[in-house]
Amino acid sequence: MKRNAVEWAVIVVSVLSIAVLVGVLVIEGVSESRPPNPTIVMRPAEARDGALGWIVPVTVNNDGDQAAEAVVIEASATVDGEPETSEQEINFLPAGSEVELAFAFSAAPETEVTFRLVGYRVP
Amino acid sequence: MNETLTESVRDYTRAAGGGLIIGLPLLFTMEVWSHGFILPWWKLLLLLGVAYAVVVGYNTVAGFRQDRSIGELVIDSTAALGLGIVVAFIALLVLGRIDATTSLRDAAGKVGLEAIPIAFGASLAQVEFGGQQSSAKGATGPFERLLVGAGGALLFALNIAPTEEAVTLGIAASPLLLLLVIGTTLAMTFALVFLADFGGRRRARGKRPLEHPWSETVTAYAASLGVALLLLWAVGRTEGASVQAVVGMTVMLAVVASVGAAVARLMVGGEHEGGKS
Repeated sequence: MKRNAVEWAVIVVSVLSIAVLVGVLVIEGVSESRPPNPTIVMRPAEARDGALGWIVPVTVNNDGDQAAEAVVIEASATVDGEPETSEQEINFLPAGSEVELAFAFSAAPETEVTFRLVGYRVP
Repeated sequence: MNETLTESVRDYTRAAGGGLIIGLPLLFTMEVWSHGFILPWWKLLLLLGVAYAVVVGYNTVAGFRQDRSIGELVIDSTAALGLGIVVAFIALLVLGRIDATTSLRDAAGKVGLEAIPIAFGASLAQVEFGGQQSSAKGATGPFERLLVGAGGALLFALNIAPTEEAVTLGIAASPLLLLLVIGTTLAMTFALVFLADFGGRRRARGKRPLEHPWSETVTAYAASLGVALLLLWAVGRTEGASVQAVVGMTVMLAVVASVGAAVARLMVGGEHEGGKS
């Protein structure tokens, strides 16, 4: 059976997409070794006074090669002389992907905000 | 020349449409997105390989086109899988499941998993709703019917296997309830295929042992159990689960799988039928 241009285009795109998908899975898979490693980057420029308190946006990244589930992160700072904490949970944190979070305090903290990994589940 | 081009565009549009119809429920299932990056890479490749084998098998039995060689069969099946990957990628982009912050591995996992039902839908649309019916090839033997049945089981159970509900049902069921479920499933699929007579698609009974209504019902159920167990293993539900939990989940998922197998067997018809008109 003779094939026309449209069929050839579909075949070429199909073979290419399969090759790319399999290639990515194999290359990423073979190098997959490091356990999940959540990291955090504050975005101080975006910190602001919200209606219910001081909002501190952050970006969480997973520096490892494996995904983590139910990642709990705690932020602490001193507000009006009292220690205060804020906790956030991330359902899924895939390897190499970013998740944006916002922590909140009752007012602008006097000290630097520090972060701590409370824990995560291995999927 | 222009006419064949139009026809090809129509063919592939129909295939993509069929893929979307079958794939949409899973594109909107959260568990599938997360399984895309949780499942190990070799398991994803294995699943894609199994899916490809199923598409080839289905095309062999039901016929993508009438006049095709083995090479064309492979090319058509490759096109179905490739179409699945492309459609899955576009759909995940539009749904915002893949964006600039998604890692390559995460995106590949999601696309790979979502491409499977879309590829099934694409080849289904070509075979069942294509213009060129394989009228010359009306008679399907018992083994071909069993194979098509397993494909139907896979298609139906695929939508349920990643969800929490299959696990919940399986773990909560007592052995007595599971026996009741097995009996009900067998009776239901027997009735669906041999009593309900959907559109007169299934009438004739052959003489071979596998063609007896009860033996066909039982073998199709066994295939459905196998498909259910394979899917549960594929999505990591069997890991660390007790034997009783695995049996419970398998039996519950096999309810869905065996209905899929029954529908598929109805669609290919019986031994002595004059095709699927």
